[in-house]
Amino acid sequence: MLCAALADFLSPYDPAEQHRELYFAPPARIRFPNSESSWRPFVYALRLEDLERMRYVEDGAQRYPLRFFVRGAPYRLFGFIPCHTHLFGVDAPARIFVLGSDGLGRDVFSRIVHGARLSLSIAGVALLISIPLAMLVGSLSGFYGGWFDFTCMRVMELFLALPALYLIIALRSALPLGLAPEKIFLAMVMVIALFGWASLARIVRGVTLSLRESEFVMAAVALGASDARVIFRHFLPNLSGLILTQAALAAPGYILAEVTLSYLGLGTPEPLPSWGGMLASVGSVGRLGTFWWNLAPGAAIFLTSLTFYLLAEGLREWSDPRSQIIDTARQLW
Amino acid sequence: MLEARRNVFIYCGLAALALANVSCRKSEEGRRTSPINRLVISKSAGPRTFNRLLSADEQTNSIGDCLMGRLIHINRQTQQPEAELASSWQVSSDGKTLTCELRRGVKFSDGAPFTSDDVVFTFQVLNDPAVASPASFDFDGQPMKVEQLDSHKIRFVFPAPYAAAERLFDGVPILPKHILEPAYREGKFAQAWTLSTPPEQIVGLGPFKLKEQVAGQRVSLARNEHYWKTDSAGRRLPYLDELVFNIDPDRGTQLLKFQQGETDLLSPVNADDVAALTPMEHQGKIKITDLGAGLIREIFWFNLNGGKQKNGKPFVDPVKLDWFKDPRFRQAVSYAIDRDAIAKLVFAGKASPQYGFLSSGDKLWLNPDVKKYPYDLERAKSLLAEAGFRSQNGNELLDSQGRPVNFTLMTNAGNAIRQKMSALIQADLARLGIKVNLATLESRALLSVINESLNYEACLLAIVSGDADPTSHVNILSSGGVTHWWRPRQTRPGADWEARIDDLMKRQMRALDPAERKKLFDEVQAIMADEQPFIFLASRHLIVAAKTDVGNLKPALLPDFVLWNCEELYRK
Repeated sequence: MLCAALADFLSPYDPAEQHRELYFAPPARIRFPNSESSWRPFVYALRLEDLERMRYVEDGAQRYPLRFFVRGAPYRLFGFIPCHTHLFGVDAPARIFVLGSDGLGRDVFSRIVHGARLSLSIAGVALLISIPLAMLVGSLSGFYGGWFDFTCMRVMELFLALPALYLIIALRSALPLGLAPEKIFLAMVMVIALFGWASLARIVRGVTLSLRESEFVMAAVALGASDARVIFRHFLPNLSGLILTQAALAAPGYILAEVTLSYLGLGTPEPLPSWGGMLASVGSVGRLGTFWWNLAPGAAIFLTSLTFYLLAEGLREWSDPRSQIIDTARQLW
Repeated sequence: MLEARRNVFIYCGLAALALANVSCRKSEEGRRTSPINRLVISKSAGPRTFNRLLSADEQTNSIGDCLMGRLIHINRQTQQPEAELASSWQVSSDGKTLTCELRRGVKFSDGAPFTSDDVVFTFQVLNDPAVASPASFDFDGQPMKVEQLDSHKIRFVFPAPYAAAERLFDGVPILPKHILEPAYREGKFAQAWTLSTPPEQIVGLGPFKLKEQVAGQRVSLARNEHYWKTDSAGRRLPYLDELVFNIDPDRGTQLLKFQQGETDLLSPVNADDVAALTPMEHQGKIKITDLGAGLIREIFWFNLNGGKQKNGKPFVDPVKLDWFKDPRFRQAVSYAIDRDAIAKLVFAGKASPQYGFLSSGDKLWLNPDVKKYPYDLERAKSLLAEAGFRSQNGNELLDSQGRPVNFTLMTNAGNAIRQKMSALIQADLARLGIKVNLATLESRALLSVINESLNYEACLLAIVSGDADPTSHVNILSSGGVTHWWRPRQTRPGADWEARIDDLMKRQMRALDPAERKKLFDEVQAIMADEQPFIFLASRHLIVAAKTDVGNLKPALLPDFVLWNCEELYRK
């Protein structure tokens, strides 16, 4: 997350900048000097030697030391602070492509970091829409039951039964062509949230159903508490742990949905970097073998998903009253 | 002129036969080691029908062409017509009739003799509107007449003189009357040769006959022992006993299968995959042939349609339409595009920059002296200034009314090549201060936008020639054409230069002297380059790869690139 927020600072280059002389350049080999005089790691400039086999050679004549907090392409930190300092970089004409460059000579590392911002914010905003919706519909239908529950359940089942991917593609192509990237972003969020809320709502409803029969709820109802009070004071606090866990579990799914859309070319358009779009550009066997570093977004997706699952695991432990960890913590307290 | 062409044919034919002679001995050796002389090739889709007369896609065509014979066929290598089932043909001096002498002693793959009855039947079916054959052709709405002179002589009468009419016969397979006539009489022609028809019922005059087809997996063809052609040693062609098409929809699978030796040919090879194949070439296992610029030209164009949609809104914002309609705007855009970068980055250097209508592969008709648009930002800027545009803060282009210049460029989704090109164009035009939004659409949706709804601003796509003859481009060039994409299906030409192209195209169609046709078509190319209704970007090279033991391989730019001479191919 931090990585995504600081994307501009962390990445050495503008993700859209095309270094047309250095396309499909391999990841930079960062070297460490042997001599005592300087500790700075350095890189050599690359030159395309063999066009046929796309082989780059290092020009050993001059060393380009790795520098920190360098001036580079201007950007706005957090969207409003004008800035042009980047965490690291090397002097031109050498370039430092930590994870190599793509087919248009753009830095894969910078694009992954910027892509993280896109993927995470889409997933985050989609969660912000789908969770309240799921909580509202789930708890109401669990609490009231009857025809309301029946209708809500059928609507949810409709959403669960639909082949989401096809519908997403259809929805995307139904939208007008000349949309600005921001609007496409919003559209993707809406589409992903629309398909994400149903399964969450089902879980909320299930838990609400079992809570409704529990003694403390029955006691509250017997004491004459209003429906709103029962829902907000008794149900939702009990649901919070579950919701957090479910949100953490759903996030990778949303990220994958965004990646899939972009992979199919229906996501945010160029030059905005997106993980799916980056993977699509190496979607052929010939390129996969030769330019393997372009698969790095796959690793980023894996790591992000893993992080979210571990987070979900932690949240579950934390929210479970019978969990060992919490007991120990309480005793220590 | 026809006489001269014939000489070329004879010369080439002799060369081919000389090669075949060598091959003959070699293939004998091959026989001892492998009992079956077989060639395997991947196809990205299976055939839709075995009726070549009804096939409309390239995959079905290339399989059908191995099964069927034609009166006159086009030698893909010389791009000139050659006699096939017609032993000779004669065009009358007024250009209105073409008389064919049919080859004698030719038999269908079931042993039945081939006569002019079959030809008459074929053209009867072809001209039948109820059959709606994609191969049918007419002359301003009038079909040609077929006159049967005797059992081996036939005359075609055109309503008007038609240049290079003999080339049309390349697309017409000669059908067996004795097999298909009953079905045709019952009105069931379309159901006669489907994918479920038993293989032995599919009878043709081609070098191969259908042996077996497994839907979605493969189509196997076996040698047609009745095929008429012989090599110089008198041995009956084809040399191959079996020709197998594997159905592999995925390009990656095709590449892997070729790398593992499961298939013998890979055609065409993606520019990106060449790097993966070169190690095999260095080991001497395969040979990669780069034929140079092919006939596919990558283009993009601005929508110049001035009309309105059904809901009353204009197709294109009138402000933008004014920019697009100004030839100086289109020329400036053309100058601002770094075509060398496209060739290098998108096609791994396996493409040639393209400025005019024809690619350099269309060697007989190319006009090399058309206006070119090498990357030149200063020229682009001065053209824009001349057209009333000015730049603000050095990074935003404004039109004469002070409105920022931007447009949406769309292309088909899932096509990495086009997406890369659009990203390059976006970056190139940003240097002029033009903001380009990119949009990708699923292919079918894209085609419906550019053909029917017409509500878009610019589109990136490719055009391909079906044949190396000016008349084959008439649908793109004439203002009434359906693929005249910048302003399709006009009832009258929308601009003077479009009217001029219409006139030139009509005249070259009537002119019988090839030199005169060349002159007329040169002018068409010059107009296309000056006006830039299509902004041409690049023509990718046609690259094919084959195992080194495939003999007589003569890859060519016209489809089918490698199998057009399948009767001569052999395994060493």
